[in-house]
Amino acid sequence: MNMFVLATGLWDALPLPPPDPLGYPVPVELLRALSYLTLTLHFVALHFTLGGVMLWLWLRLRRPAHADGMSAYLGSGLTLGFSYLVTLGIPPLLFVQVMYGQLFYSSSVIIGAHWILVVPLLIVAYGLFYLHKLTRERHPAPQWVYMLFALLAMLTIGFFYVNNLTLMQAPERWMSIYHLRPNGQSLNLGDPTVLPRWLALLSPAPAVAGLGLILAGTVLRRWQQEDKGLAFQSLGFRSVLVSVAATGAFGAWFVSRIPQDVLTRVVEMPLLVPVSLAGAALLLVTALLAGLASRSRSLAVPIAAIVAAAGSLATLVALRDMLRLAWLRPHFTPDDVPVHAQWAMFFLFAATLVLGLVLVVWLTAVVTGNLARRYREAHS
Amino acid sequence: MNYPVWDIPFLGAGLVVAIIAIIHVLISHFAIGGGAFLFVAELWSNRQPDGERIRAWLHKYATFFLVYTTVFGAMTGVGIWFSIQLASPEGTSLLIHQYVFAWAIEWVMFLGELTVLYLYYYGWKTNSRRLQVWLAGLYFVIAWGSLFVINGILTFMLTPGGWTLENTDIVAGFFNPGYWPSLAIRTLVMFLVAGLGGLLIASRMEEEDALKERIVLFSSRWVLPAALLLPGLFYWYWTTLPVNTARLMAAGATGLGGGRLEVMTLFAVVTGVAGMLIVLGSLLFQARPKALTFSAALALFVVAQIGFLGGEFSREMARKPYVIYDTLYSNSVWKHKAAEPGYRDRSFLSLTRWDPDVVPLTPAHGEWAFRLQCASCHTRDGYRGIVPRTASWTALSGFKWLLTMDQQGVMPPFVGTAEDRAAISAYIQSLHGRTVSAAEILSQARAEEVSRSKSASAPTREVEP
Repeated sequence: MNMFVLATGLWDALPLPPPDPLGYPVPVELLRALSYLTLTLHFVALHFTLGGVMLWLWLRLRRPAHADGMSAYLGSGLTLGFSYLVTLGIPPLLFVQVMYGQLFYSSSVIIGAHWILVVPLLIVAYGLFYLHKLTRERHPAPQWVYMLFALLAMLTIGFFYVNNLTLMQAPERWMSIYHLRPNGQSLNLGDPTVLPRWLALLSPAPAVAGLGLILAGTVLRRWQQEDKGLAFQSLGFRSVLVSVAATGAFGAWFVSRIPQDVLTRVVEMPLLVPVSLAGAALLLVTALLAGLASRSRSLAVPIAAIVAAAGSLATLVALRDMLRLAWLRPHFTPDDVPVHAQWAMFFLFAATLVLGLVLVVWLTAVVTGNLARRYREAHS
Repeated sequence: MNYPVWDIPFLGAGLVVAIIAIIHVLISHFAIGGGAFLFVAELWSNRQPDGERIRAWLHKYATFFLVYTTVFGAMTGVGIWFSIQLASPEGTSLLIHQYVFAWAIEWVMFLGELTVLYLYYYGWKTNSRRLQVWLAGLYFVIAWGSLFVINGILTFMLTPGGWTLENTDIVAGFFNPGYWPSLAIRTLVMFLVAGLGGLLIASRMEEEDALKERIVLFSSRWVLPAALLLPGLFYWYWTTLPVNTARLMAAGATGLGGGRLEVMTLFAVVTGVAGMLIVLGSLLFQARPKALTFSAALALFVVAQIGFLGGEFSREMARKPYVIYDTLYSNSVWKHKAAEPGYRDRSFLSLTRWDPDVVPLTPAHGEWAFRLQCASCHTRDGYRGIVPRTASWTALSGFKWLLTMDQQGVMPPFVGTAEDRAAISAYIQSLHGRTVSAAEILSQARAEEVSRSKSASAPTREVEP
């Protein structure tokens, strides 16, 4: 246990459950690495889908040239994007429970009535995306309603997540909230970071969907659909610019609301400066590459922009965890949890993961190759 | 007792888990069995002269399968995870920390099956026939692999076998006594549900269509392995149940003969009856395939859902009073802690961290002690409501009952002092609209104790000749 906690007796003063006696199954650095990797992938899928539905609604409102083509492209990606955002969201949630379970479970119960609503909201959003996919040609009129409600469901899910994840790192707030409503009908709205953090979480979405549009536009131009491809690229680039600016603004607002003592502890972390600089640099590189890609026929440029965007999301994931560690420092540090190693199980997992990824990538290449060939033949 | 209790009125956390789980479990079995169905149907269509028509029907099956299993199945799967955290954070923490890499392997399987399913479905028009068959088969193998993994964690909760808190051997807990019979039962049940899915899609075809007859025959055969083998497999499973559970279930069956039906047995009977109805329905449509209507096929699906409801409730009740058998009680009291000398006599609120420093023997004491010790299983007047269960209680009888409640086999031991029991009993009386103070209950109990000890020590009067 943390010496500070021992010295101050804070452990007893707060209703903080002890870490699970089974300890960590591998060193915490490995859990952290797995969590960062999978959370980054989750964010890519999340932002692609969320940004996709935002852009779809914008296209419906403004109806620029080639709006139908862009809407069809964005709309067809929503079911797959949503499916993967949920699937890729599972391991980070698993690893957060391993590393911070005693905090996460407590905050989840405190906001339980809202937390469980995530499940029907997921079904509503996903169901509406399928409804769109299966009925958009036969019944085009009500599609914007489906999309609007799906967007609202996704935004609400994100809001509940932000409430839970901010509350889990503030055990000093638990008792007052729980005693007021033990039925879980509470949120962490008294925390001034909740709103800016939620907005900062959402703001990269149009950029990632925009990069998807740029990539699709590049492919279209290579397939001799010049005008359509240019329209895709142009809207994609504008989305990236707006999104990067919003991310910077909301990020700054979020940082300004972090308590001074937490900021002091974050600044003391050795990796903070390099990770922050890398994040800012990658964000700028993403915008620059998106600009280049919006005029190019080369596939390498938009792919490089997507890699840079994923890299900047990875730095945000790392910064987010650093902030959590700093926030929790007076109460808990993962370094104090014993490791009861489960190496055999870990290697079994690693082998399954490698085998699974190889199989999935290979099969995806085969099937998408077939699909692309057919599409090209149909349009040539 | 390390965690707060989600005190959700009327429903209770347990029912929230049950609602999500019952919906999920049928779909998750369909999601695996349906893979085998697609694979076999692909092979069958290849050998038929009208294979293209069969594949057109199969595409409808695959569309239903894709939407139903991903939108409702996958999301309710996540939902079970969300709900168990709220119902039993302590138990979930144990499962996660003990089996984190088993969960992670299951996730890899899930990622794989999802991707292969998409490649199969979205490549319908462009993939070669051989690739489609191969993808359907691969999907089934991966999906069954995910069952192979999750089955270990599910059965561990009821029959942990050689696993204990001292011997946290993953393999001993995973391949526990209930593992193999449960795996066999689930495998047959998923074929059965896949067949019901086939009937549902076939029922939409024109009655005059000769293909409908062949597809109904093909689909209804998927029910037969379960019809033949499940009774024996359930008996095998029953032999692996903990002694106390088997005794309670047997007592329930005996009670059935006497006109009294235990709830756990009732749910097991519901599952059995549902299974028989499905078998009878399938045999009927084997004999008269053209008679299959959409309503009839849907009814079979609904009956299957009711069967799953019975099975899930029965299994959950079989675990009473534990969430991890013989280890952790449903109200998050550890068995080994409760067995420590003096532990059960400690002030309950001093053991929890979540009460608002209530004054002893006040109504708030009773309310918070009830919330933190009882409300993870019992609501006030909803699911497993305490009010109907205590209709015949007096304040004093409730006070006494709490002390020995664990002796009936389905309740955990009470943890707390006489003051805690008096406060809870007074609180329960208040739920009935009766005002009794905890201090009054305590003084009544003490007076009764004194009079009992006096009568025990009084000299016996000699009987006059």
